[in-house]
Amino acid sequence: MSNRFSKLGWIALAALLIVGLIALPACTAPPAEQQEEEEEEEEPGGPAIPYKNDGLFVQMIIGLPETLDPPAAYDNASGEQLEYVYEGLVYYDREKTGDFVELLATDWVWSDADLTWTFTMRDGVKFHEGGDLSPEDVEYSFERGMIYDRVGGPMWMLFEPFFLVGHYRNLIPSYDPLSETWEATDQELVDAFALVDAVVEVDGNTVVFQLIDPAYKLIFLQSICYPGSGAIVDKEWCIANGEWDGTAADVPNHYQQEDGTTYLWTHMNGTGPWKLNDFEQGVQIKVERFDDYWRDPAPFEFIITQLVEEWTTRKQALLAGDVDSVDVDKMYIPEIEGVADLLQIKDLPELVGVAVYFNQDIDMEGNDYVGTGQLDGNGIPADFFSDVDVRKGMCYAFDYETFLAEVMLGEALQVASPIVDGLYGFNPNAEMYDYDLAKAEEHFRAAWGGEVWEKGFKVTLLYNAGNDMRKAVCEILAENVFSINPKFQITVLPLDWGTGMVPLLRSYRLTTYVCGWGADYPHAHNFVVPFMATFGTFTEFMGYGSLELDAALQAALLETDPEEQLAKYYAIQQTWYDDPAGIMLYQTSGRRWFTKYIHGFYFNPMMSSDAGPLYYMTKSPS
Amino acid sequence: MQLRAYIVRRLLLLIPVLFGVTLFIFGITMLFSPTARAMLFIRDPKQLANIPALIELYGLDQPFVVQYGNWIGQVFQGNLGYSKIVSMPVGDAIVNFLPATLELAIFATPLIILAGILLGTTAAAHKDKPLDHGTRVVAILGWSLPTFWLGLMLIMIFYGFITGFLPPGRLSVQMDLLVSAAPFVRYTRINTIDAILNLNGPVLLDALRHLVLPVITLSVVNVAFIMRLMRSSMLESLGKGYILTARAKGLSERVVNKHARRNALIPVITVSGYLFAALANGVVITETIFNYKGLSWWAWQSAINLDIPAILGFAMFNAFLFVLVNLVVDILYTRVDPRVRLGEAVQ
Repeated sequence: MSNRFSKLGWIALAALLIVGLIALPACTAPPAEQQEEEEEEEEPGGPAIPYKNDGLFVQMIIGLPETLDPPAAYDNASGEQLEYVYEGLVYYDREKTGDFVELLATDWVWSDADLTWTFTMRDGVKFHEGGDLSPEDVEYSFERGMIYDRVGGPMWMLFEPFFLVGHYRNLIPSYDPLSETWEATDQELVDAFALVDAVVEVDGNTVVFQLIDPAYKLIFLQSICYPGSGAIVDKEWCIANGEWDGTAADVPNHYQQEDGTTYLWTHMNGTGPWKLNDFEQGVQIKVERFDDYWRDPAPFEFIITQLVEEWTTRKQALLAGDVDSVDVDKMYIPEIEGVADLLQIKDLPELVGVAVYFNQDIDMEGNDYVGTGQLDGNGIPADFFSDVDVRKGMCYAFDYETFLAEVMLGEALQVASPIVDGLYGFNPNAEMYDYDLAKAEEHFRAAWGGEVWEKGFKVTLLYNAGNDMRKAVCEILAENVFSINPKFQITVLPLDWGTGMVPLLRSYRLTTYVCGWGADYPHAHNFVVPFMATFGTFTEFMGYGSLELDAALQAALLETDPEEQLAKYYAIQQTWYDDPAGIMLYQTSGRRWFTKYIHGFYFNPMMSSDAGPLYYMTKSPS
Repeated sequence: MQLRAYIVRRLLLLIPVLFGVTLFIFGITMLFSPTARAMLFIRDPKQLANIPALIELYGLDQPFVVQYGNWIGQVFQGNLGYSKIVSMPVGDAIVNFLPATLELAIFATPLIILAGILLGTTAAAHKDKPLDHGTRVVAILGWSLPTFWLGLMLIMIFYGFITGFLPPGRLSVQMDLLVSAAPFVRYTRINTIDAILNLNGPVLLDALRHLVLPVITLSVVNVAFIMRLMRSSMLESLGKGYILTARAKGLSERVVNKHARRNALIPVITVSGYLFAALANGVVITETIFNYKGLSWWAWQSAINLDIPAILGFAMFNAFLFVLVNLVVDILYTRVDPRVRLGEAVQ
């Protein structure tokens, strides 16, 4: 009797538990059809979000800054923090990308005759560490940036308007772009400084910038709005902390200083509305209100930016009101779209192009992402992607339609080249790749004289951890390529952005790279250079481009006849199609998500901060 | 053997153990070529030209013994290298991230052990009855649940459905700002302990509120192991002659269980020690899901980003912790079982 009872009890308990386990997920995530039915019964608007953290702006994002040193910073996460702490001479007038408002300059005048911009400096501005702003700080900041000239950094945007070149090295007469062993001597570095010194001059309370071509008149103003290239630092404070001393003789000590070795890499001292409070790498960064700010005090006492890779954690924190804004990948939009207490700003005309970029000249030493390093089915050689058939095969193997529909939920467009829709020079009828496994196979069979098809390959495709859209890109590509030939194996791996991806990229070890480019200024030139010029932010590390192509890109920019210029940009797009450096994926329309207590957001595609112009925004329970 | 002498002897034993561990770990890194290891220092294209200089600077082409000697010499000077993924020395990273993980382990381990002992004893005492079956099924289900799934479910229910009730992270934003500024002193960086030392009730409550879900997650997943061990150990004890004698003499079941439980605890103590060490090292998923960034999160990031100094440092710390825990477990044996004498084999 007792045994029978215990068996029954066991069965009953097990049944209860199974039912409970089934019911639990059902409570939390009903299937789509059921959800539709339930939505009719549910109160519209989802959970009420409580008002919390008065006076603070808290956000959870998927990547923290790589660096806090302005001329080294060239990623959104870094740029965003620079925008809070540093200021430039001028900035965009709200949403407008061609009109500017005063910041540290009160006036700016263009001279057609001299090709100069003259900025009159504001008085009474203090740096966070107590120094007073002077025109000499401006000269120092620009010259320090150009001397630093971090490879892949933002200073190319200033070298071009000043010198029509991309780097400091181009100012040295002996520089040979085709030489792999060329290295500047200290004396050459010192001598070249005279050129840099001459293009930024202090004249009383003004600073004069000498441009080289009128084509850069507007681009220059736009370029200095980006905090990496335009942030003004305190000269005395920098020198006191071991930075460049402002003389030609000290240039060799600071030219292309190694990453992480500048004092400003982890320390900040700007004139902006917030000052750095604390930066815990991998955890969070906090900036706090600067009480001696020259304008009205900042609306938020602190801006706290936390790194949270897990989507559910970010979502629930937003819904609980513990944070004011979070990164939302497109595929998660349905999970929060109906919540009434969320402020959703959609259809933002972002100028962002995303691509899978292939490295055609991989550094194999110490590289764990290339397998054996041979074309033997268990790895790839350094120049594997230099065969255009490999790249074209990859382009045809990506299922654009499915990705755009199911991952991006229709909120993105496939683009043909780095010149995205909305930029002058965009060709709406440009040829683009479609998903065609037969053509992909054709190209893979032709690649490396048939060796690729016969032996196969094994490679690691990396994406920045937490970016689930890019993860989906990698997985789709890996699966499709594998379906063409089981010997084609792509391993997908997430890496932290600032500490994993960037160092790998910068040491030429990334094999493939899902990269996105957001506009510094709204011109095709700002997109074709990073993706296609030999000194471009991506190209520099990916072995693509040629001097001829560099010349074509510059010719397109300097062309004064609009029709001719358009034709030149169309030709550049065709070049990308014929010789793709990577798979050009998509251009997305943006959304931003806040709790309803955040007010005053406006959008300018050039802003680094996804949270918007926080100085002009407020938070209140009303 | 005197307790003090035993502890000293075991601590001395730590030296060859750590030596072996470091030798093994360092040996694995030597499988990479000098150039490959020099590349790990490269963050910047400018450094690429300096690889031979880096190899020379760090002696990466020297014989194994020399390189190991150089490295261990640095370790003795407190220099465990630099963790690139968190931009700080490895020693600082351990000090920085250990408190979070330790705090989880400190709260989760007793809960797991107590629940495991209680459930195991109950199950054994009601062998083959519904209570026994039910306890085992529940425990095994807990054991079978994927940590990430359970964690996410708990967040969705206790942070989502019951809005903001039990949040992830270590502290709320307001409390984080409070503990970061004077006059709050961060003695240990273990929030609950620091809150007590600072006599700060709100911080203590906030820290506890943030601990509930990760501790439950760890407990649910791990309690089954202790419970099953306790049950089988208890059953074994209950079948022993002295228990049968006690029953024959008419002792109550409560007293019988008490005697049996004491002897059944020995294997549980062994496992519990390792459980603590394991929790203090390997709760990656829990730390990630609950945004509770501790040692495991750092170790995991180091592993996928090939941050070799960090991996070496973590492995050394891991070995040290396990040896230390082993010592504590041995000492605990003597308290539970008087037959066990330190320095002698367990009977």
